[in-house]
Amino acid sequence: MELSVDRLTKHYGSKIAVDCVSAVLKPGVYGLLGENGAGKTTLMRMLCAILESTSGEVFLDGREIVSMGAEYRDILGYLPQDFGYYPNYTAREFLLYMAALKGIPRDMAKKRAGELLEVVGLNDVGTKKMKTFSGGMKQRVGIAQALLNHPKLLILDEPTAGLDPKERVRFRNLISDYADGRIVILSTHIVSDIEAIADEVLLMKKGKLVSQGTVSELTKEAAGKVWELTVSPAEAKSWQERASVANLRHEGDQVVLRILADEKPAEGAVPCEATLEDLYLYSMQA
Amino acid sequence: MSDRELKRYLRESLGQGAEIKPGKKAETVMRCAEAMRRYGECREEERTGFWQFLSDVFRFEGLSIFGLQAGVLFLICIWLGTTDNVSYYIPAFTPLFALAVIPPLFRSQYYKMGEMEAVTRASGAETILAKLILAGAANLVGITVVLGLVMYRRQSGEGIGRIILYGLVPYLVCMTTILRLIRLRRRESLPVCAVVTIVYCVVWGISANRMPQVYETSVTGLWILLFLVFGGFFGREIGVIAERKREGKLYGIIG
Repeated sequence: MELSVDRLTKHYGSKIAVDCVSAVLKPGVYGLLGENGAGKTTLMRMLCAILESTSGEVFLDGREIVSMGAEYRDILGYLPQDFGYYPNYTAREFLLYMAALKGIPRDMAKKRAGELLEVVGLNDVGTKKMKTFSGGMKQRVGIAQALLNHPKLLILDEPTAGLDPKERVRFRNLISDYADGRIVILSTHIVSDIEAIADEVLLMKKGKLVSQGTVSELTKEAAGKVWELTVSPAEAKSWQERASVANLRHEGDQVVLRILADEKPAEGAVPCEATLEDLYLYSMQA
Repeated sequence: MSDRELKRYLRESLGQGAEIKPGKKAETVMRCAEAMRRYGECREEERTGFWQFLSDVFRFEGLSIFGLQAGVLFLICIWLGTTDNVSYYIPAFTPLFALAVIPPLFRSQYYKMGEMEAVTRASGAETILAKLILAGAANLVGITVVLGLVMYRRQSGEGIGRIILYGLVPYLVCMTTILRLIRLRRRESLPVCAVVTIVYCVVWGISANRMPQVYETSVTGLWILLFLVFGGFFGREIGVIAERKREGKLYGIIG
């Protein structure tokens, strides 16, 4: 299976939300990183064929996805960033309703709904109404509905938003297991989630795809640009104003700054290993 | 086939006469199991047809669709029981049946479920069509009961054709407007549909009081013409939904 994105562009009036994005995605987990307004959601909505592109096309195994219609949606699982729910449905009813819309026969739907509630850790509250659920629980129901039809292409927009650390780990494991032979595209602001599960990272900035590669390939791009500098608290303030400080931690009376810079920022600065977060911050400030 | 027979069969089939190594056999079994698992994943799953889908929509939405229609019918029956000149007021009542169709049609938009539902196999066209079939069946029952009640109040079956037209023309006008607004993808179509339908009710109600000549036998030709025109428009809207469903394309606000 291969999903090809060919010069996909979306304009909203004079604003360019997605600017000529091209990529070829094969089975695996793809993490979409970018700041707010970078065009991640717009790109995902076009990949789901619910938003018409201004120009460019998306192909699944050589077939244009909009023309595939129901056939495409049949193999697609999607979790929108901001989704609603029917407050009077229980979690199980909600999944059964979504299963009906996905054309899953009733017996199979009941089995899948039960399995997925178990997988997302909501089996014991499956008969409770969704209006009583916390944000994280609703998010987990959202993830479960996306998996109902065993999609070959899974698109998740901010799936870990609202999940507590334990649930995030559960989600990562679930996706890692699920991704075998499938294409999973997920966007998140939590870089550690992408580091943990993504086979490849797509970095977006102002609608453009600025970098694509594995986590190790991308962190190499930031190699030699990350420094640690130990300074006094008073100096730390001035460093924050004049340099790109990725992190700051107190060690006794001193402050250790993690600075992103092309060249050694000060005499005492020591180079350190770059992470994906460093690259992300470095790319965003560039 | 027993294990020994299978071994002999494999040996003969391969024509090599080689001994089967237990380690290799286990590996082969594992590979076959993996291949079967992958085959199972790749195999196309069974999907429901439209009638099964309709029954699913009825299961989840039937109560609200039929409940609202029953509520409207109840109110109209009370109103008809206390009003004179009932046949003049039929055009003011029947748009209320269309008004009761609006909540189920716009439910996904109201609860922000549109995007999630749009990427399902049903897309929107199939869902709207199923809801329209269910609501249409309820409307048919409701309008028939209303017309029956009007006949009963008038104690006469005279002019039944005209009375049916008084009921159907405003209903078709409202339904066509609602479907057209949904098709034109206007995000604000929910309040617009509700306001337009209520305005229709008021306008037809005023016409019953202020323009009784509209309901004279001599104007029946105009009513027939309106019925044909709006019946055509309504049929066209249903045709568009059916075509979108057949082509598997998106329909509605998200579309």
